Amino acid sequence: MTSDDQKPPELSGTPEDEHSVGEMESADHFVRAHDFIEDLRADRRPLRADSDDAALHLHETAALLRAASPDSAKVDPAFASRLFARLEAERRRLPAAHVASPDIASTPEAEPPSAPVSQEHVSPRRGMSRRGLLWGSLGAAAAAVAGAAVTSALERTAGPPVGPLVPAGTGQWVAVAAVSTVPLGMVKRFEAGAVIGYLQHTANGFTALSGVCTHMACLLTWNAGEKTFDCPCHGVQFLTNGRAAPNAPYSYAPLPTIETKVEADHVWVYVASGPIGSQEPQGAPTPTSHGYNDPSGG
Amino acid sequence: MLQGEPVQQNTSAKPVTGSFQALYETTLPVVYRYVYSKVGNREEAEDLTSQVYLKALHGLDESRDSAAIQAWLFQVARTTIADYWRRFYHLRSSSLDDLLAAGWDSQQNNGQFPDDHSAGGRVRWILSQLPERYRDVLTYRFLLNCSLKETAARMNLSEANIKVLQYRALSKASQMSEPALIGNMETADDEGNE
Repeated sequence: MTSDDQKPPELSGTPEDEHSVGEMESADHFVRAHDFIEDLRADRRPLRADSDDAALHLHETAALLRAASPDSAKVDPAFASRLFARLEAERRRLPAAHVASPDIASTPEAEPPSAPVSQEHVSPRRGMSRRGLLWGSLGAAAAAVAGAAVTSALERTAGPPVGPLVPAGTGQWVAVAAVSTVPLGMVKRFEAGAVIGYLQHTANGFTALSGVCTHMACLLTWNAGEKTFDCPCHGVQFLTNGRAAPNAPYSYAPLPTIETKVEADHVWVYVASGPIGSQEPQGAPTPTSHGYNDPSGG
Repeated sequence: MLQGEPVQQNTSAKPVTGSFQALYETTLPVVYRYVYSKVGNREEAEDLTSQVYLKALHGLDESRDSAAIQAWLFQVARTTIADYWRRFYHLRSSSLDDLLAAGWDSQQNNGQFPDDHSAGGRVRWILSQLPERYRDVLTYRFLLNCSLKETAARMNLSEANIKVLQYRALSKASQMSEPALIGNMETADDEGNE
């Protein structure tokens, strides 16, 4: 921080400066504003005490500008984990009945409104996408920081039933890859309608697993180095048999399996009926853009 | 259908954690960005964001849809920040209710968190209204995060000049950033005293 008490220098040749020199302006204003800006640039708490309305306005404007900087306003994953653990602990302390705290309830408009419902905020796909985009680095930090509070809380969460993603007789077959494009040992990501999964060519033939975490529906990524499907949200790793790795911090249901078959030189997966594309269960296999799209599986 | 989280049966007062966690992860970036846009630094943003969630937890109805919950969080965030300001600033309006009734932070929110687009648009508008040198100094100092020395070199001014210029630019910008705030607060205060 800088603190000099020199007189404000003249800024000659700038009419706008002359107009804005107010009678209340002093070197102290420049120094305080500069210190404030430097604190924001360092992302640290600035000195706010003994300020007036005008200073608040100045400080809010500075904050707004600071927040517009591309490298600011990102949530630190370690903070997110710490706060989550704290909230979980607080939730367990709360009585069963939810009671609004007096200071909030005293504001008439603080009641949660029942309408309108903004579509922007309610789409589960959007929510999932946002998690995937913004929370990619949370996983490891969450596991490391959140600790026992989160662990015990998550263990209470029921997972979906183990077994095939789509029971026999309820779905349709979709071709997702030419056999020749999936050599032995390869793992390939595919999309078939709303289903995202991973196709594996093992010594026993082709198998497929759902590519969606059983915990919170985050999209898994294939970790070719460790041969695991990794969840970006909370760091769990699923093995190629679909089970969570033994070192998983929480208890996770295994990934649902997806039935496969080989026909007409293509690998087919059995997925939920719906608007998949042009494929028909017994038609010519025509992998489309819905098919595999990531040779690395990641 | 893509498999999602288990459908929550709202049979107990305290829903399953998975639901709360999804809610938390979806809303935290939004709440944090909003708070950050008010305080401009990580330390205070983290403190206040924590306060928002801890307060909100007590009145939170997790069975509501996410838009309603975000609206709820937004109200809690506004009151939390307003309370915070009152600790430090000698505001002419001493009542939090007055502050809120005066339309504090009422711009274009409709009871929801402002999105990135509206916040960015506000910054662009403010900068566009400023004289060129003011716009430049704020751009260098805030948007490009340049040091005093770097800014001085780029603008061909002394560092002392930059200190003056950035203060004046910020003052000018603040006069056009939220005109409703001070004006309405003065009105509320005057009415209260007369």
